[in-house]
Amino acid sequence: MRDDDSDASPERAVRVEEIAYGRSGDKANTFNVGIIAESEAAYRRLDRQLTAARVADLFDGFVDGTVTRYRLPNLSGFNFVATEALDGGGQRSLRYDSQGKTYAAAVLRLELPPMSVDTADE
Amino acid sequence: MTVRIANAAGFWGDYPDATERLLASGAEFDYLQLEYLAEVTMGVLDRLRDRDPEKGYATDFIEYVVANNLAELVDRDVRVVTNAGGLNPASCAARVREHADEQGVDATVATVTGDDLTGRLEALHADHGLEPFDGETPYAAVASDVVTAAAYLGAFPVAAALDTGVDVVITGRVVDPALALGPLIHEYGWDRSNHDRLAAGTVAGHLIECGTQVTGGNSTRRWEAIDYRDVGYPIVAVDSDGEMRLTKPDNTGGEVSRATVAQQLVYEIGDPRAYLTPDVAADFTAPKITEVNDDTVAIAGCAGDAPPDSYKVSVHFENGYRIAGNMLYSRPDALAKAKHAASVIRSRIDDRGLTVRDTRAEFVGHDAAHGPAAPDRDDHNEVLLRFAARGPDRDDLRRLATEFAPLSLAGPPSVTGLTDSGRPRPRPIIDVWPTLVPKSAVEPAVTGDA
Repeated sequence: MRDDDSDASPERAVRVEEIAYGRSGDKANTFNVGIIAESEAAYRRLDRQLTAARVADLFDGFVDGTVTRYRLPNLSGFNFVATEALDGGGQRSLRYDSQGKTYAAAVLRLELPPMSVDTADE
Repeated sequence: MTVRIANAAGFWGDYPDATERLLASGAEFDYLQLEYLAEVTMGVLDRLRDRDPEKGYATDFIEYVVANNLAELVDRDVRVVTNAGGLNPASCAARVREHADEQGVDATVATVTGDDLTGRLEALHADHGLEPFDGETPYAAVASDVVTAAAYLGAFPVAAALDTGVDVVITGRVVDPALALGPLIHEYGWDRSNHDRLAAGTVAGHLIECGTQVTGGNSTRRWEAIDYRDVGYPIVAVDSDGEMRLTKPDNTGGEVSRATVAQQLVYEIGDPRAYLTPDVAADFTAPKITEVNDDTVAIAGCAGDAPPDSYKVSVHFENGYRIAGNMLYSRPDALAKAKHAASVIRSRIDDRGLTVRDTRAEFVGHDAAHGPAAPDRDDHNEVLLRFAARGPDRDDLRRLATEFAPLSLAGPPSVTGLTDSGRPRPRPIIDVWPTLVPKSAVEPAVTGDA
C-alpha cells in the first residue's frame, strides 16, 4: 500500500482506473462491482466521489433495483451491489454480458472531477 | 501443521489439463478441489440428465481429471473434493469407481447428498411458505415449471465424508467455499461455534474457488504485465489458527499479489460484513492481506459470526425460450446501418404477428458490454448487430430466426458474416428462483465406500 497521494492529486480530474482496480460478477439478477484503491489517499477520494449515486447514474437503464455501496477498509475498497440489474440474470438475460463480468471496467473508466470543484459546496 | 488445498477448476469449462499441470509442477498439496457448478450450469445439467438419466454431473471431472490422474492422486495421497456430482452425485461416483477398477487403482469414494429438494418443493412450500430471495415473483408463478431445486449445503457434511477416510468426495450443490472449509474442519476439528476459524476456511475457499482468477487471471491492475500462458492454479495453506498463505506453483504464469487476492475477495459478494453460508456469517472486512514474497500472499485476522438458520435454495424453472442472431456491418456509418437493420427486424416481428416477449439489440464493438455506460461514438470500422429475443413460443422464435439472413440482400449495405453460423436456434431458458428453506427441513447425507 502506497501512502503518497501523487496519483490521487485532488486538484486534477482522474479516471477511477488511475487510482484503483476492480472486478465484477453476478448472483442471479444482482451484479456487484468491487473497487480497490491503490493508496489511502485514493481510498479517501473514492469515498468522497465514487458514490452509490454516481454508479447508479452510470448504469441508468440497466438497473431496475437499487445500488448500494459497502466499504471494505481492510482493502481500502468498496463493494457496489446492484439489484434487479441483469435483465433477469444468467439464463434469461438477453444481454451479451448476462453476468456483468465487464461492468467493473465501465466503473474504472469513470472520470472523477477535481476535488476542489467537487467539494466546493460542502 | 498446515493444510494445503489446491484448486484445479473454477468452473465447468476450465482447462481440462489443470490437474496434470498442478501434479507436474512439483508443488505439494494435501487436497485438490474442483468447482464446477455455476448458476447457469445447473440448467445445462438438467438438460443432459433429461436425455440420459445416467448423466447430470460435470463430465469433465470424469473424462479428464479421473481418467488421467486418479492413480497419481491416490499414490500421492492427495484427497479430492469436488461438486462435480451436480444433479447426480451417485452416477458421478459410479463412474469414478469404474475408472478405478479399469486402472487397477484402490480408490474409495463418498458422496454428499440431501441438497436435492425437487420432489419435496411443494410440501416445503405448504409447510414454510417459500418466498422469493431476489425479486418479487411469487412461488405460485414458477411452481408448475420447476425442473430442479437444490439447497446450498455447508462444509460439515463434506468434513463428515472425509472423516470416513475416502480418497474422493463428490457433492451435489454445496456453497463453493465448503470445498475448502470441509477439509479444514476434518483436519482441525473446528466446531460449529468456532466462527472465526470457520470464517477463515470460508475465506480460503472463496479465494481459490475460481481457480486462476486469484492468481492473475482477470486482474484489472497492470494486466499488460501478466503472463497468461500457463497461469498457475492456486494453492492455499491454512494453519490451525486460521492464518493462511496463498501461492501458485513455481515457474508458472500469472501473479499472486495483494491486488489479485483483494479482487477475488470482493468477487460475487453482497454485504462484505456478512458473507453468508450455512456454516458462518464471514466478515470480509476483517481479513488483512499482506505480500510475503514473490507470488505468496498472507491472509490473517479472519472473523465471523453465527450463520443464518436457513439454507439458500436455487429453484430452476423453465421460462420460455431465447434466441440471438448476428449480422456484421462495416463503415461508413456501421453503427447507423446496424441500428437500422435492428429496426427492420422489429417491424417484421410486428408484421408477422410473432409472439415475442422481449427483444434487445446490442451493437458489438459499441455497447454490448456496457450498454448505457458505453461512450457515445460513431467512427467504428465495423459493428456486429446482435439481436436477441425471448418468448414463450418456440415456433415463433424459429420464425424470427429466418429474419436475419434476408437482410444480407434486402437491408442496409456493407453487410457480411452469414458464413460463420446458420440460422440461430431457440434455446430453452432454465431460469433461477432463489429462496430460503429452514435448516431443520433439510437433511444432508453422506454415502460412501468406507
